[in-house]
Amino acid sequence: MNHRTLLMLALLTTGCGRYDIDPSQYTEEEGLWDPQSALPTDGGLFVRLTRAGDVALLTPGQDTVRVHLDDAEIDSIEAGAGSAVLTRSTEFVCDAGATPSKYVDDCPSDRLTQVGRADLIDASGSVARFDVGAWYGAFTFSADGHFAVAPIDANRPTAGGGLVNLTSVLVIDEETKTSYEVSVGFAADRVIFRNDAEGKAIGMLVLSRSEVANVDLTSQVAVPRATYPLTLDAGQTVTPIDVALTPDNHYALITIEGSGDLYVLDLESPSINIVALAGHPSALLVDPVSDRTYISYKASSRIDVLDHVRFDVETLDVDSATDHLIQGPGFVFAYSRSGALDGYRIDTTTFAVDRYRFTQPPTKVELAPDGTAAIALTATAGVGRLEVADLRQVDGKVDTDVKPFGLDGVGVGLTFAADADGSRALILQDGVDTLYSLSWPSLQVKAVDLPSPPAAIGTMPDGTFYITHQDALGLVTFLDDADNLVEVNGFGQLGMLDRPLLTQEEN
Amino acid sequence: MRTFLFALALAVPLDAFAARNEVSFEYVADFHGDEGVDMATGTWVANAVGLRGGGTIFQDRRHFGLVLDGGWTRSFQAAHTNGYLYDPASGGNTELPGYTSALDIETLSVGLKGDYEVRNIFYPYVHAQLGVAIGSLSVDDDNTRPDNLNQLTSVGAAPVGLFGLGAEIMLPDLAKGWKVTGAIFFEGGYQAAANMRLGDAGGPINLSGGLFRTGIGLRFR
Amino acid sequence: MRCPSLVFLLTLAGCSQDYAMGDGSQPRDTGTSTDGNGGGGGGGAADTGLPSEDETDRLSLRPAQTDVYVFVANPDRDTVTRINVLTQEVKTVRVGHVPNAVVTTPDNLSAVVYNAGGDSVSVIHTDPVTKEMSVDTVDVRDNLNTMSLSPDGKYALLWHDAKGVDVDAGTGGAASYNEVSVVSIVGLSHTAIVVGFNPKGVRFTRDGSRAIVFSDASIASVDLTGASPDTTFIPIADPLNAPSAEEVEIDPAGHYAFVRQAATDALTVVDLRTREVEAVPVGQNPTDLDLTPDGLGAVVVSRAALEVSVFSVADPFADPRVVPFPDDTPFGSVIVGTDDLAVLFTNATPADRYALWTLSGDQIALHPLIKPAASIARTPDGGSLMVVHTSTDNPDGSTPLPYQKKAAVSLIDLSDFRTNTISLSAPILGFANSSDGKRGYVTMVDKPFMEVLHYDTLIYDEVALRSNAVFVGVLPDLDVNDGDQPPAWVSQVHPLGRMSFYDPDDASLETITGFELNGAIEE
Repeated sequence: MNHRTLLMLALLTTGCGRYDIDPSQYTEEEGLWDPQSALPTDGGLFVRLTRAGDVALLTPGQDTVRVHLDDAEIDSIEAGAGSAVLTRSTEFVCDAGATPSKYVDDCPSDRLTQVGRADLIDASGSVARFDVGAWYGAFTFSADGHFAVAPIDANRPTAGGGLVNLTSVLVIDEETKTSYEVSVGFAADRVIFRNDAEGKAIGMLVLSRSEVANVDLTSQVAVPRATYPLTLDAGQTVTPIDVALTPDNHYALITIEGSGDLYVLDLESPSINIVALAGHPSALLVDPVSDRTYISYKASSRIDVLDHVRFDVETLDVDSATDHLIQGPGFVFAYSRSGALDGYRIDTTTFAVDRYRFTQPPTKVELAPDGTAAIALTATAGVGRLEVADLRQVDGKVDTDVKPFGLDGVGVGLTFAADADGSRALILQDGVDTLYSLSWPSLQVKAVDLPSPPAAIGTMPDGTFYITHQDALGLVTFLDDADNLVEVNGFGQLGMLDRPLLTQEEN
Repeated sequence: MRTFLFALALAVPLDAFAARNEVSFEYVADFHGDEGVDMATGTWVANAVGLRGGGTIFQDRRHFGLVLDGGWTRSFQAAHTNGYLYDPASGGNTELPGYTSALDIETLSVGLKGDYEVRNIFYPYVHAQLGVAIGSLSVDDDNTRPDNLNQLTSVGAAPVGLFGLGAEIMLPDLAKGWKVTGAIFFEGGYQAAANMRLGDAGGPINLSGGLFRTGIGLRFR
Repeated sequence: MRCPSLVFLLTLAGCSQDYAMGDGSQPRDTGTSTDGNGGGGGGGAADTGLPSEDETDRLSLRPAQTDVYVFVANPDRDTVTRINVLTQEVKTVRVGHVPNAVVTTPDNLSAVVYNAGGDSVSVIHTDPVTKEMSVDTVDVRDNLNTMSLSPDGKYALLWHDAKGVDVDAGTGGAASYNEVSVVSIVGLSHTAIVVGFNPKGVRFTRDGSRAIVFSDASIASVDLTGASPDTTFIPIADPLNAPSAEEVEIDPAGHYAFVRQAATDALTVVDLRTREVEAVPVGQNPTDLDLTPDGLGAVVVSRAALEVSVFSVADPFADPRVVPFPDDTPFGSVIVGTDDLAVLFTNATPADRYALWTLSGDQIALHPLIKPAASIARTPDGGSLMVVHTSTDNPDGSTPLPYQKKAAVSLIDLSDFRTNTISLSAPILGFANSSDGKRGYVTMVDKPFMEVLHYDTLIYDEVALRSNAVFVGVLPDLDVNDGDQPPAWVSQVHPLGRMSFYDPDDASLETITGFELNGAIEE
């Protein structure tokens, strides 16, 4: 009996008006889907169906595809590569003979084992599968999507893993569909990739407690090429907080928590030099064009510029401390999210500093794709503004007057995309159903009504914007250049009644 | 409506010995304990009401009788679910807007009831039925708007088998010489149901479980 | 950790003098303030009541330099770090256990490391083409603590100096104080020899063909020219009643050894060919012995007799030329320059003057000092004097107020005796003079500064460092015609190692920190 017949039969016998419901029960359950989990890929937008343990692939104008794993529940979407995404999932295995059922809730809890795994998923399902212990944390991806690396998360239990090497990281090679472990150091928590001139990942640096490992990824070796200690005192913990590579991959620059020391690691002839900085750094940015490193400080009104040969420090004085550095074409933009109002445009050729003053403390700053403007969401006591700093230079001069725009609420989402006339910023505001777009450089404002309050905003690879909403049963709107809205909805319902399946052990 | 007429038709007495032809209004409680239903309705008991009608197909001069019956029941339960998302990074929950869900289960069945007349008042019986349960899950994440995008329905069906033991108690004749009397009955038993998948909402849900049935109706000789 | 060595250094600094002077007469003229040879002790105190002249130097933990590299021993890591002064490139190699002394060979291709904890010597050879380092280790005898390298860099002698620091004293079941390990740097072989009890020092002939290990009662003459060292034992005094041997000099031809002993009035001359020992009378209480740079004369200062004697090295038994001091200032030390000038001073007793002695005419001229001298160094070109003063003042109260009770250093131009006395906030820890005589570099105890002394103008510049300075040195001038000054290096206190490199041409300072970590990099 197909659904339509059943539906008709049901309707005939009962009547209509089933949506005008006065519920008699109130419960609280985990949400059906996660509006913050949206991940754009070439094939569409992936979102996680939290209740069903699946993912849904949404494409405007096409049917939603529900991707289901028969033998595992998907816990998270990590990142995309091409038209696929890497997901973390859990297999549930019941002791043999404990139950003939195929459902997890039929298995006694003391007979149930959870096994972690990762799947590379596209519209057709699982393309590749990797054993990943549940003790591994989030993956970091190389820019070319070739590698994904997960360090061990010390907060996760290692039960079921036997003897787990707590100094290892897991490397997934998405091209060969293989995974292997590399022993790097205890409590590894940051990974940065080394790329060749074409941007392909060839190695990585893994920062652990008090040491840094330099690992080659071109051959699947389990041992790093070199391990650099950050201290020789076993009782002292040196915690790296930020790392950057010089453009030629010759040096790694590492800032240390609670210290003004910058560790410069020579990756070609392994050696270490410690450069004393003026204070505790707040941000570190390597500019490949000028081949310099820019450092801002938490408590110092200065930005230091280091060359990559002698690591001599040249100081640029500014009027207030900054803690964020953004790279633009030919400049670095520095600002603070700690309450200061200044933003600084630092020319990476002349090291000239132009000061911009926002009317309120910025919470987020994005640069226009062509680098001609910096747009900031600013807020004070619930009052939100959008402020535009013109970064263009005309005859060597800049207009440092910032143009503020009032918002209805506090800005929570900001994304930029190029369009025919320059670029366009889309602004989401907390609790507001309207999406505003600001064109640059014309500064024209347009409003787009949304069907319901938004949760997050982003861009698809083809330049379309997507906006996720908070609707419990699933709603994503896609916005194209011409402000045409296409809604995809109802995917939250997919599999909401599904019962998790046990993984059948192969005998 | 058609069901009602069908039940009525069956009530035409074939034999005048005992008042076995029946039309009844009944309440059925299905203690299915299904988690999926509980999630959608907030309860693990399906409370249904319905109609049943039956006609005697055999009775002997002593006490035994066999009735062929058919019925329809419907349970309709709704719940509002508030959502949350667990954030492993902070260890806390973020509140999400919720949705309202309603599960409408209609069961059509035919069966056989064999009873034993005791002084024309007390009729213990055995009852077996086969039927189909049709489920319809409706969800809506904004009750305040009649045109909300997310008003969705998923439908499914599953065969059911019911078996029960009960007793019927005849009420005094409504009027002297009338061939119509009233009865109340109580029945306890078990419903065996196959898994039901509700369209995109998946499942399966399973309505198997203990059954309790009670009702009141008319009996005809 | 560096702490034990720092404590050691501070202890020495408390004695107000812990460095020997780099004077122009020494064969290895790299401008550093110490050379590879162990120094001798001070003069006797028995007959005059005056303390001995202090002429100590300590080799331990001091970095060693070649023409472009500085080698730093890391005793806690069992590694030696090589730093290129010009590029700050750092490479580290593993050596033996607890390396605490490094010296470099004159050909600049090898560094010799004494591993005090492992009783071995590691030779680090730098390939002249690839610049890669290779290490060979030779075991030596235990219970040694001092290393002396021959001037040609071919042999290292390891011996036990009673005044030295013992790293592993008392760890074994037996110990000897008569043994010396002779290590061939080229052949990487070891020969143990027995010398007199408690050797006081080692001296080499200028060509490195012979080493003299002298003790109070004997000297051991070691012939280094053969396939293996050949030792000749020569008693010089009654072993049960030997005066303290304080200093030995060998004539350039290697024929005679001159031994200065405390509490005697004679110079013991040993004919190394015939093994004959004869005492030659000198004035009372000889406190210093030096050879003239041309090697023709042996100069003995007799402090109590207030005179200086000059012996002919070719015929030491002939009567010496005796020059009396002009007054009763008890000079006890002499520095003989390559020119006709020698400097006489004393650091055993506060004296407010020094003397310049013209050797050819035997004239001694007195010159005043603002404060007593702890040590005096003459720049390698001979044009200037650097006087390191004590913190005590002139006995007659003539020390000017700004310098009273303070450490100070004076720069004196010997052509016109212009003087610049610089008051210091702490006693001097170390110094080095560049070989062209233009610059001197001074570090102080527990101070993060290096003072750059300009000998041509007598002024100074102060260079701020990131942490307290320890050792300082100057590279040799590789090209005297290029007009560039050679760079100086200064090591500083840092748990992971810190060294700064100063270019006097542009007064720039480059610092590298953390090089001790390099030994722990696993590849």
